[in-house]
Amino acid sequence: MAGLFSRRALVWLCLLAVGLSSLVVATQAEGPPRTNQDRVRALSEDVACPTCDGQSVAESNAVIALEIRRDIQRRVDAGDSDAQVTEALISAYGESIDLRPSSGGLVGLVWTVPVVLMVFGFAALFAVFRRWRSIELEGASDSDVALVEELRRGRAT
Amino acid sequence: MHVLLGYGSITVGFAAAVLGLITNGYALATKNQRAMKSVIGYIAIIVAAAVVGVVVMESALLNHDFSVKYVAENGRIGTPVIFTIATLWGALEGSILLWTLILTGYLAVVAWRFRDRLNDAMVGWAIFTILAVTIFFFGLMLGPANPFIELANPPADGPGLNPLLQNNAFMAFHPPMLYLGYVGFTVPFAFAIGALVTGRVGEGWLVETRRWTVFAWGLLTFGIVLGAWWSYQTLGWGGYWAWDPVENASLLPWLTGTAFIHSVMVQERRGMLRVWNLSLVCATFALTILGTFLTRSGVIASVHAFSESGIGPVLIGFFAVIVAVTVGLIGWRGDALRSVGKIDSPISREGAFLANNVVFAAFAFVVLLGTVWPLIIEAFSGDRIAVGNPFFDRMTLPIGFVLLFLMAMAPVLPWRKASGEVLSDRLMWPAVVGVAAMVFSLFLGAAGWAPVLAFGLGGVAGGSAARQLIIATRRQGWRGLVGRTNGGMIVHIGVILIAVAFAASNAYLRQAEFRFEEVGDTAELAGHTFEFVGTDQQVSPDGRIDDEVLINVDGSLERPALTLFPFAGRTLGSSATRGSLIDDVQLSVVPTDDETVVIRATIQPLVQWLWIGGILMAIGTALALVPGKRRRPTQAASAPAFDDGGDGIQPDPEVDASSGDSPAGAPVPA
Repeated sequence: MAGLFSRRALVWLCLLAVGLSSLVVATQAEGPPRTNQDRVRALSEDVACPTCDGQSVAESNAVIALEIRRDIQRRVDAGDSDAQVTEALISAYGESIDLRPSSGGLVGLVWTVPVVLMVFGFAALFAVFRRWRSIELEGASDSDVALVEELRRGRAT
Repeated sequence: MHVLLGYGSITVGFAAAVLGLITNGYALATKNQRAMKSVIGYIAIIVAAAVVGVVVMESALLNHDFSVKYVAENGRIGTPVIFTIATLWGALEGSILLWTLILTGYLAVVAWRFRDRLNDAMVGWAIFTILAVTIFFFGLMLGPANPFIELANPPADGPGLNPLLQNNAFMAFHPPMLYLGYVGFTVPFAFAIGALVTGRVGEGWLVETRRWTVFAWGLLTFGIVLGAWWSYQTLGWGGYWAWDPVENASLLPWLTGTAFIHSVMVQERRGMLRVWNLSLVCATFALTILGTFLTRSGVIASVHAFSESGIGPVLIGFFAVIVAVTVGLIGWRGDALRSVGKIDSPISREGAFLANNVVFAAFAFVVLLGTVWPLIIEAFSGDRIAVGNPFFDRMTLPIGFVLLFLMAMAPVLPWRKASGEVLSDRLMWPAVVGVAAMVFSLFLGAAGWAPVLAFGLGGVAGGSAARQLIIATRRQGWRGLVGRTNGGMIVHIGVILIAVAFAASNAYLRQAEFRFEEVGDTAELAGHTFEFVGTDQQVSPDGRIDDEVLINVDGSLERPALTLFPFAGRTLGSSATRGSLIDDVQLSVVPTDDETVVIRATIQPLVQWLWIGGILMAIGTALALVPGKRRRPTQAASAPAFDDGGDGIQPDPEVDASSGDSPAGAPVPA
């Protein structure tokens, strides 16, 4: 039995090792080279189309979205960094074009509140399980137990 | 004529709903069986009124009766018939009319299904609740969302439906599907209210509404996937999900609904989570109303647009009433809702369901918060901010991983308690599948930890789901594919396919623009070749003009186009997609100022698996609705510890997936 158990443990260890090293390899691996267009697309996903409700420049077909896409393309082709492009767009169209809510101030609460609540949720779950663990089968009185026993005997025959 | 008939039918429907509600209330108060019977008569009138309303509107649309304001604003002579029919749900007033029709349909089916139990107070209160919701929707159409307003000077022609909605015939099916799901959640909500009012807050109402909930959930799921497919085909930039407010509004009730259909099992099994389940069902219904408010009141564009639309305040008021009533009722029934019992171990099926619920609740909260945050900020500080893709992507990524992890673990966990040995035994093969998926993806050139981890977890989760199905079919043949547990596992496989396709298509998207100057020019991207063949022009009978660019992609001809809608004065791109199970090549024409042709090519791996996953989810949901072998209420829920000399000895695999190879509670002979 002990031998069987250790073989199983060995398989698990192998699986874990292969899995983890796959992740490491994946992190190190270089994807295909990014074209300028890949960058344009990524950047335009972070920018709101000013005339559309809640669409990004990447997915909108509005005239202004087309123009902004061209603008991004020009800047990327000219060799601007991602941060430079975003900065230029914000200064041209205003803060409200940035689809990434800032991380500070009142606005930044949008990032922190869900995390805090989720931590709170799991903490509550943890606390509940601890409480449950401490409750043993109290509340089952002697007469309850007797009743159950009687029923069992009744059904078994 | 149309206006008179249409508005008349709505008035009749409203009046019948009010009278039906009063009669229903009287019957409940006095336990008058005769009065309850007559409510059925009112329901018949209500359904007839809604049907007449829709028929009249369709007749007005098809006959181009521009004296009806809705037709004048959304119809157009020359629009293909299928889109003219679909114009019913192309704008606000018509959508409310369709919503009302579907709602009365559900009302009729509930009344018919429970026709022998009308004197059951819970059924009575459920019908009362649906009637109240029906009154609200008929009332909307009498007031702020009247589809039958007469124009004194009708125009000769209308502008037609938004061209974006006319580009694809699937547009005709996506919204009705979504509404069938949305509105379907009214039924479990009504029974939840019935349970709260009558104080029968046990498991009865859950059992009554189990199929209704799964049915509505399945249609909502399919509607959402159809919407993604539509935007992928229409927008032509390789995107299918953009976290825009309309999409979020459809996702919110789906998230709480998904949490509900999982946690229901804990209550059925252990009698716990009563308050939580009632809250989830009520929240799901309330979120359908809130979603309608967010997308239809103009509030997303600006907080200040809200008061300008007539419908905004009414919808948010209704939402507030729903929340107040449910919170009040749950508080009132607080004592009866206190559940007995406990969950033995977090490493158990019910423990996994609890974690699932926390995560889904967090998911819904993130989506809701991100959607309304710009409104809150604008209301408080006056600043205009935007919350979009980057926020939702980053926040939902870890949630997605946790959900995949839970999907990998939960199906192999037994109820009550799992030992390490059981876990190691049952998870071994799924884990092998997962690790193999990771290694395989690396061989194919996958890079980045996030997609590879998604493939790995997806593999384990797929293995867990397949394990259940294999055990069940071995035992029961084809019956091992039906019923809640097995159908649910097929849905899981669909979800996993979608998750994997989502990860791959986002992480390995390649895009480039090619400028072609002469016929015969070629370009290449990610192993695909593109050759410029020429241009062509097509004029459709409805007047739109397609300026096509002919491109030879890997040897097959594709025709992306710029489509001019002269009647709307707009030009839209019509993309061409050449898909395979490995990757999709999507081409769209980029408008240019000169004579050259610019084509944007987007290459995304595994996109087709999104739709395959969606179809699998629909099939799985349908199979889950087929009655499997059910446990009789008198039969013990967990494996019996003694022989009762009869048929109750084998743990039922349909009811208890975990009993597949008997965990702690193997059948013990007496």
